[in-house]
Amino acid sequence: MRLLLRRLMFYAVTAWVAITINFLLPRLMPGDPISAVVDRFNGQLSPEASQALAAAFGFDSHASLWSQYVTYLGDIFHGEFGLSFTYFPTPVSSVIANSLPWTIALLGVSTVIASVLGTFLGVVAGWRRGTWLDSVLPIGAFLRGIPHFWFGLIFVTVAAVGLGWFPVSGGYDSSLAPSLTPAFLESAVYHSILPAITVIIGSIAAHMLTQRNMMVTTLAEDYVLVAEAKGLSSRRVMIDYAARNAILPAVAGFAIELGLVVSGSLLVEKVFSYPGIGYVLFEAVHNEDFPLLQAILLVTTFAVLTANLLADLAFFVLDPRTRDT
Amino acid sequence: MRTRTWIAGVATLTVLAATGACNTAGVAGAAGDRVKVAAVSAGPFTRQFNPLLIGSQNSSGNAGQAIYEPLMMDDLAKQVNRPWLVTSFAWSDGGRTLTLKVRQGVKWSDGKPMTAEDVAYTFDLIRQNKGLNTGGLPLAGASAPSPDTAAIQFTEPAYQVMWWRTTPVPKHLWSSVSDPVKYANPNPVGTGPYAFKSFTPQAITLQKNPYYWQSGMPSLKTVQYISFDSNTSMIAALQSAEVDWISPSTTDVKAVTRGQTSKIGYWVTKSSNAMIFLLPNGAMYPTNQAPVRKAISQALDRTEINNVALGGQNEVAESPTGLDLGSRGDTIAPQYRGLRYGAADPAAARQALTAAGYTQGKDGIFVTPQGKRLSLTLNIPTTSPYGDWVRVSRILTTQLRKAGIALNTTTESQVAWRNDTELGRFQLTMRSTGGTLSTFDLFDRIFAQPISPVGTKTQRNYERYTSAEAGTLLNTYANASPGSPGEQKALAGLETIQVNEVPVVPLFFTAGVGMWRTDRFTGWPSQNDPYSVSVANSPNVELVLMRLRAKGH
Repeated sequence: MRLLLRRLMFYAVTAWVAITINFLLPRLMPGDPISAVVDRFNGQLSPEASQALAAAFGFDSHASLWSQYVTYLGDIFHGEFGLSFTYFPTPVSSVIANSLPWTIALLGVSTVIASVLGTFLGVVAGWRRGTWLDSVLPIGAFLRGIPHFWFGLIFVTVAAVGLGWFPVSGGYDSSLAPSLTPAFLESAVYHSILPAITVIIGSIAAHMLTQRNMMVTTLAEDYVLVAEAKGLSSRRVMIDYAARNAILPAVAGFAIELGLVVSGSLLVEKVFSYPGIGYVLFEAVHNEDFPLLQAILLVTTFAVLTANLLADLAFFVLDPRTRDT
Repeated sequence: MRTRTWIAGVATLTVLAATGACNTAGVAGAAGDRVKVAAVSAGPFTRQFNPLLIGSQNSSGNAGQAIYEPLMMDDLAKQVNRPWLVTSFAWSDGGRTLTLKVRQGVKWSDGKPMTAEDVAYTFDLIRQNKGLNTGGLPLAGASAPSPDTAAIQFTEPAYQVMWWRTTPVPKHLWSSVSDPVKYANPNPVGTGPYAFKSFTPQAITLQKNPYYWQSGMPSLKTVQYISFDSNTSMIAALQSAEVDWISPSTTDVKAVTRGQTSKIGYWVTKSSNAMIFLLPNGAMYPTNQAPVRKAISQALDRTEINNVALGGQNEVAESPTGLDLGSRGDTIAPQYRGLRYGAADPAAARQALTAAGYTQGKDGIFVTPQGKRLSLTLNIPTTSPYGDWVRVSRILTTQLRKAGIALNTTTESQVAWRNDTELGRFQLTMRSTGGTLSTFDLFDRIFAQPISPVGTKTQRNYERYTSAEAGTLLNTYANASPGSPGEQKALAGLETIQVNEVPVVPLFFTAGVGMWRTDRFTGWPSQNDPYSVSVANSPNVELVLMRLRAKGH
């Protein structure tokens, strides 16, 4: 219990540090959101537009950094993130609400599939080491070395543009309005197949290789030898003795990965024009959109922290040794 | 057990894929009068249609360009203002009063008539809210003395302000808006050929405006703006007919149409007369020396730059005045009308430098009278849509080398480059300027005086060229009525400075790409029928939308 409390304290401090960095980071970047807008118009906007934008964005009042920080902290507690500059005058909260669910659905599901499947394959490959399964490993290493989006580009060219089996872009059919009707859900699933396969192929190999190596290390331990000597069934030795110990690093890795899901997968989104938050984050950085940037970083921070907390709890359950201290 | 689940999963995916495929086919077949447009790749849309907030219009895919209309249309293909919601205008009171004749018979898409009252109301809204005054109009007041006449008052002579780009908004709806600067206008009502129908972050659907003032227009019932995250994805969607008209920022058009030349059409054109200039820093030695700037300009072969670095897609600068011969030929002073850049002349450049006291060093590079090697640094961004500039810089290096000038290129992120340009922290950089129809606007952006010191941000005269004479001429220009001798004199004076002092080095015009499905719709603009520019994100979009017909109708 003491350990758990200590962890909670640690998380509280980390959260505060992250919130403060979120505040400072965008303000330390070069440039400003106004010239970003003017630049987007390629010389078609009058130079006077910058004064108008300053007035619209509320830049004409000069508050001190400290008072901005105090307002920022207060706003966070009220869930107030202000208006986005890129999508002015749309509130940051609605920009995020439009994009985050898509990312969570696509990346959440495919990350779970990739981790579970990859870990399972790793356990099997580790157990059957020295057999023909080892020859699959170089393929895994090869897959891991190739960036996600490259597969995405191949899929778009071959399966979507070439063969016409799948839609080329978007998260759903443009003639449908987002709703929970069967027609829309079907269209959403159909549109998500290629991006999901891209993400899964891109990350499954890493899970498999890590898990296999952990398995091989664990299998060399004395207690595995003892379990085998006792005459336990090989399935029991594989799952309860070897895999349960070998899986601990995978759980930690999985938690972090799940937390990072909310920041999106920019390249996969760009390849498929999938309506996720990765692209919104990219635009926010590109346009120096402080309010939007702060909100996305905040959501990401909290997702990672929550995922880590859950991983800690999982360790607590999985590994009795953590309960002793 | 596990195997069975796996098989079931694969089966489900296959079934879904099959049913989905049927669906898409069904929709495409039924959508003969629905044209799908991808104007920008700027990610998921937000429901923002406030036409007075110009800065964020691309967050709704520029769909507002089919909904709202300006007072006069900037016809970018012909480079003229066309009477639109306003049929004529007159200046009085020394440029302080503008009287507009408002077109009669125009209705808002909710059926209410659009009158001079709405026009005056819009100008007054802009006067009261600084955040809406994106054109920097020096407004003093606005009124509507009669239903077809609006009178706009200015605090100073406003001959040269671009008042015509203002898009009127309906007074009967906007007068109840509490803060028009923070108003997203989720259900826009305009006078354009299309009216708002529905919104999703992926698609904005517009339907034909039944009250549109140009009778019989438009022909197509529905226009849909589709959101994209990247050029690549936009192009793939065009190739598989998921979208009908796209404007990727830059692309190799021939590669896109390969194998589908009978189905995909394109036109790469000068989408506005914005020119890419090479900017030498006028607050820094030796780029503040006219002989150096002139030598740079003389050493360049602009046609070679275009052919090698830009695939020949752009139009090059021809007149040393920096003005477009096609559209602004009449503003060029008689003595410069015949003047052209022609081929590179490195020998003349070397001669001019030698005459100004520069000496050629052992490595062929000149040394300034102050003993400095004439080695310059060009600072450019690398990210899209500026990728071409890196290739341009390589050609510049080779061409300048022949004139005895060394050029090094440094690159940085777009944000950092933009910041450095505005602060004047560069020796040479490139930037596009002057995309509007106003010649005054172009010269004001180049010459505006006094300069901002290095380290202070500016949106004009990035090159920090100091000239009291240019300031006086600009002032004369602003206060002279259009076509008056005063205007002619000011124009000639500014052109003389540009030709003799070369504060900025004109390179080439920006190019816009429009690509479309010729197998689904007809009426696209082209080289043979250049009735409009071809890009899907210009204010001229409505000109194209009104001409489109479904194939076979």
